[in-house]
Amino acid sequence: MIGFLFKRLVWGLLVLVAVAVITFFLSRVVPADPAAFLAGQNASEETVQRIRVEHGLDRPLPEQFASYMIGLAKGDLGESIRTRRSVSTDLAQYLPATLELLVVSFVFYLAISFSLAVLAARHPGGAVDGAIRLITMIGTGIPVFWLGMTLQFFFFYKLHWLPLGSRFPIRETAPPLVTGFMLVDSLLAGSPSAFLASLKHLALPAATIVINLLAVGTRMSRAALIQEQSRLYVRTARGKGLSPRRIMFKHILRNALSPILTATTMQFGYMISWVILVEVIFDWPGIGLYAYQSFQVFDYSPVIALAIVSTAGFVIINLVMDLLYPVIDPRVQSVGS
Amino acid sequence: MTFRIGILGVALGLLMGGVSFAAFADDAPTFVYADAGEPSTIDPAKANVNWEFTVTRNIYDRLVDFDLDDPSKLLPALATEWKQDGKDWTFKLRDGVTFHDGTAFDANDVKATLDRLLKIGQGQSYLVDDIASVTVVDPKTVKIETKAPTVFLASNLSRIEMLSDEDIAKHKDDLGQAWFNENANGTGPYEFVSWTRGTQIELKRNDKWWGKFPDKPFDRVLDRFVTDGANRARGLEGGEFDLANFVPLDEALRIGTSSGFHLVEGNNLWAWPAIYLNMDLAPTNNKDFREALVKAFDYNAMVQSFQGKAEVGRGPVPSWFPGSPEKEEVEIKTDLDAAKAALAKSGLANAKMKCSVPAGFPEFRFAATVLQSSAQQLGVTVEIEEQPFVEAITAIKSDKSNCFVLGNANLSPSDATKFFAAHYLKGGFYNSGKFFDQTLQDLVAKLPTISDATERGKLLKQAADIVVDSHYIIWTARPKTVVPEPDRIGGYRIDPAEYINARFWEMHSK
Amino acid sequence: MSVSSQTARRALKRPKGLLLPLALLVVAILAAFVLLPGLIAPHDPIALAMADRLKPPSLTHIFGTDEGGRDVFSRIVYGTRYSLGVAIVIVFASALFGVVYGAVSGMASRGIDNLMMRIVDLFFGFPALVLALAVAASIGRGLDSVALSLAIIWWPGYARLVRGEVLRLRERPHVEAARALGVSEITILRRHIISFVIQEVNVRVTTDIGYALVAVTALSFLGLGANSPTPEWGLLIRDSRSYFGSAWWYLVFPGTMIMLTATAFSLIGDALAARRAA
Repeated sequence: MIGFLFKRLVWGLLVLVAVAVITFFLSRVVPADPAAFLAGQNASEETVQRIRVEHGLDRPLPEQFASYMIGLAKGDLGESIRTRRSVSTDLAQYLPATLELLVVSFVFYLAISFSLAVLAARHPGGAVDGAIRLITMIGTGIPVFWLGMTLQFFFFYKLHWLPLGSRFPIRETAPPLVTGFMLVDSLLAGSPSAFLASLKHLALPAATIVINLLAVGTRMSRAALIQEQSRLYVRTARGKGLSPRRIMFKHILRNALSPILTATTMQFGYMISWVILVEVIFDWPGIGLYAYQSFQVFDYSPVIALAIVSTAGFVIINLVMDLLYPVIDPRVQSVGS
Repeated sequence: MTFRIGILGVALGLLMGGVSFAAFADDAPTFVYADAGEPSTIDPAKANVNWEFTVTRNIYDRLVDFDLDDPSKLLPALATEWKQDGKDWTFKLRDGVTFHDGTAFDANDVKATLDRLLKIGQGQSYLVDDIASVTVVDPKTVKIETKAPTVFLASNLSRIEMLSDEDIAKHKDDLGQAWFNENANGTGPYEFVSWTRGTQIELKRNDKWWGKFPDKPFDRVLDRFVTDGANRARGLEGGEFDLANFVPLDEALRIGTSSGFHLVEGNNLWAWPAIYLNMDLAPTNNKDFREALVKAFDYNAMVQSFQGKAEVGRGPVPSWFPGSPEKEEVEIKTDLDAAKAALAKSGLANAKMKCSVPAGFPEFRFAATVLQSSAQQLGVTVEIEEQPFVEAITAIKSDKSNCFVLGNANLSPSDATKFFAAHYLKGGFYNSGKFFDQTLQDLVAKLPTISDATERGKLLKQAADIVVDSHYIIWTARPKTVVPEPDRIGGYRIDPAEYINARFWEMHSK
Repeated sequence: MSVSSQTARRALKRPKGLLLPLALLVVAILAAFVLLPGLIAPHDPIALAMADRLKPPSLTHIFGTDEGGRDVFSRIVYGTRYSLGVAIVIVFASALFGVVYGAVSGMASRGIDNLMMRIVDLFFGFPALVLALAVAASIGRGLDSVALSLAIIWWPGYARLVRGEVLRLRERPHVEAARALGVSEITILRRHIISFVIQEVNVRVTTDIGYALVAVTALSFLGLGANSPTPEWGLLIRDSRSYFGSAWWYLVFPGTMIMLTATAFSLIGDALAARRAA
C-alpha cells in the first residue's frame, strides 16, 4: 500500500516536471517581449532594455529555464509581469474562487446526473429515458460560451433574477476574507443573506459547467445502473423481498458509483478548460480568468502555473480515486494487497 | 452519516444564528464604474492605459488642468500661476493643500515627483522628457528648466500627477516602485481604500479636497474590472453599473437612446482606427502600392459602420485639436480608378500582404475587414490576424506583418509634437511601420520652440503634409465618442486626452 | 444468456423513432453545406454590403445580417467547411494516431506499456486551453493551430480505448490457442484490432466530431482560432458579442447551428453503438 502510494507520488511529480518543461518552452517560442509590456507604451528602447535586464529576460533561454526550474523546486512559481506580484501570491488569491466554482459544480453535477440516471434506468428504453438522453446530449452539444451567454441573457438581462457575473453583489461589502470561499466565509460571518447572495452569483456559472458535463455522466451512470440491475445479486435481493428503493440505494448505486467517478475524473482536463471560458464570460475572478488575462500580455509564469496546478489537481484526484475505489466499490480489492 | 448530519446542523445553526446579524449592505451613495481592465500598477509614474489612469487621475492632482471644452486653455490646479521665460518655467503652488495622509503639499513634492518620473522613464514621462532640471525656489515656488525652450511644458504637465516626497523618500530603495504599484497617497478628490485583485478598486471621497464637488457627489466609488465589452454594456443597461468604459458603439447608441438613459457625445483623439503600413516590408514598402491602398479604401463603409457618427480624416491632426491644419488639407476619398493607376505604377498586381490587428476592438477588426475587401477590388490579398496588442505591434515592428491597426493615441491636450514623436519619428513607440523623414524630424524638434501660434500652425501643416503624402497611414474614419449615461446620474464629460475616463469628482446623483 | 441481461442489452440500444432520421437529415444538410456552399448560400459570405447592416431576419436574409451587411445564413453555410471541417480533421488525425499508439502499447512489454500509458495520463490532465494558448502563440493564430492543439489533446482517449481492447484480446483463449499453434500473435491482434477499429472506434469518432466542433468554436471564440472575416461559427459568435442587445439573430443562429450539429453527431454515434450492441 505504502509502496503503491510512493510510486504514484513519484510518478505524479515526474508528470508535473514534464508539464513545466513543456509549457516553459512552448511559452518562450512566443515572438513577443514581456519587457515591452512592462515598460508600457511610449517607453524608450533604453527603458525596455533596462527592464529586460532587471527581469533576466535578456539571458539565454537555457539559463532562464534553469533558474525557473530551481525556483520551482523551491515552490517559487515565478513573478507575474502583469500583476507585478509573485504568481504564488496571485494563485492563493484566485484559486479559492475557482475551487468554489468547481466544487459546487461538481456536487450538482454528480447529484443531477445521478438522479437523471436513476430516472432513466427505471424504465430503460422508455419515454423518460429517451427524453433524458436527448436533453443531456443537447446540453453537451451547446458550446459552453454560448450557453453562458444565453443563460446571462435570460436570467440577468430579461428576467433580472440572477446577477450578470462576479462573486458577490457589487454594492454590498463582501464578508471578511477567511477561507476565500464566499459560501464558507459568509457562514463564518454568520450572514445568511451573504450566503444566499454568493449562491445566487454561483448559480449561472455553475449551471453552465454542469449542463455541459451532464451528458457524459448521465450516460455512464445509466449504463452502469442498468448493468447492475441485471446482476444476479439484485435478483436475489428481489427474491428476498427487499424493497426496490432499498435495492437501488443500498446496492445498485453503490456499485455503479465507481465507473461514474472514473469517467468524471477523465473529464478533469476538459473541466479546467470549461472553467476558463466560464470565468471569462462571468467575470469570475478565478485562476482561469487570471491565466487568460496573463496570456493576453504574454505573461508566461501564470500560464505555466495554471498548467502545473491543474495537472497537479488531476494527479491528486486520480490518486484519491485509486484509494477510494475499495471503499466505494466492495468488489475492488484494496490496491497493493 | 452522523458526521454529515453534524455538518448540516452546524451550517443550519450558523444560518439561524446569523439572522440577527446585520446584512453587509452599505448605504453610502456608491458609484460603480465598469472599466475595461484591471490595472497592472497604480503608480502614476507607470500608468499607461485607461484603466490605470482612471484610478490615478482621481487619487492624484496635477499642477495644471486643461479645459475639456477647449484643450488649449489651461486651468489652475495644484499650481495657481505659471509663466515661461525661455527655457525656464516658474510655477506658484496652491496654499493649504494636504495629501490624504495629512502631510502638506509643497515644492519639494513637485521636485521629487518629476525627478522620480524621469528616472523611471515609463508611463507619461515622455510628455515631459524635455525637462532638464527642477529647482525648489521656496516651499510655494518651483522652477523647471527645459533642455530647449518649449511652449508646451505647462500643457503637458496637465497630465502629470503629483506624489508626496515623504512617500518617495520612505521607499527610496527601488524608487518606491513596489510600494506605489499597489498603494496610493495623493492630494486628489478620492482616496485609495482597497484593491481586491481580479474584482475592483475601492475609493472614498476626500472631503478635504481643495477643489469643489457638485451637489450630491458620490462618497464611495467602485472601479470594477469588467474585461468583456458585452458584459459592460449589459451591466450598464441592467443597472449593475452606473457608467462603463468602452461600450461597443452600436450598444452605446441603443442604450443611450433607450428610456432611462441619455447620450454624452464628444471628441477624442484616441478613437479612430488608423491603419499603419510597414515602410520596410514588401509590398507596402512601395509608395505607389501604399497610395493604391489609401485610394481604394472604402471610407464610406467605415462611416456607415459608425452609424454616421464619424467623419473621414484628412491627416494626422483632427480638426478640433488646438491649431489643427485639418481644414486646409485636401479631402481623402475613395477613388478606385486612381487606386488602380497607382497599383499599375507600382507593378505589384496580385500582391499579398498581412495585417496584424490588436484583438478586442470590434472597430479595429472592421477597419481591417474593409481594407481587405477594398484591396480585393484591386486584386490585392490581405490576410488578417487578430492578436493581443503587444504581439500585434511586435509583428509589424519585426517585419512579420505589413500592417497594423491602431486607435491613434495622443495624450497631450494641446501639444501635437508628442503625438508626432510617438507615431512618425524614428524610434517612436507607435511608429510601428518605421516611417522616417528627416525634414519631419527637424520640424517636430523646432515646433515647441516657436512662441508665435500662427507660425506654429504653418509648421504643423507642413509636418502633417509630409505624413499624408507618404501614404504611410490610412485614416479610416474619425468617430465621435459616444457614452450612454443613466438619467439617475449626471456630470459626465468626455476627456479628449484620456478617452472616456471618468472624473469621479464631477459625477453626481440626481 | 439470462433473460434480464438480454433486457439490459436491449435497453442499452440507442435511439429509435424520429430522432435518428432527423439527425441523419441534419448531417446530410451539413454535407451539402460543405460540398456545395455556392449553390445553397444566397449571398456572398465575405463581401461587405453596408446598406444592409445589422438587419433582422427577413425573406431575403433568413438569419439576418451582420455588422458588415453580410448574410448570416450564407456565412453559416460557408463556415461549415471551416468549423466542421477542422473538427473532422482533428478527430480523424487523433483517432489514427491514438489507435496505432494504443495498439503498440497493448502489445509491448509491460514496462514499455506502462511508460506509454503514463505519457497518456500526462495529456489527460493537461488543460486543453492552456495548450491551445501556447500553440496559438508559437505558430500563430489560425485554424491550423487549433487543429494541432486539439489533436494533441484528443488522441489519448483513442489510445486508451484500443490498448484496453488489445489487453483484453490477449487473454482470450482463442488467441492463446492460436499462439500455441504457432500463429504470430501480432497477426492475430492486427486482424482483431482492425475489426475492433471498424466496430468500436467509429462510434467514438462519430460522437467526438460533435465534441470537437464545440471545442474548435470555443477556441475561435477566445480569439485563438480562425481570423476575420472567415465565417467560422465560433468567430461569428465572438463577433456578435458587440451587438448583443442590438442584433439577437447574429448570436442565436450560429450557436444553434453548433448545437444542432453536435447533437446530430452524438445521436448517430449512439445509433452506431446500439447497432454494435445488438
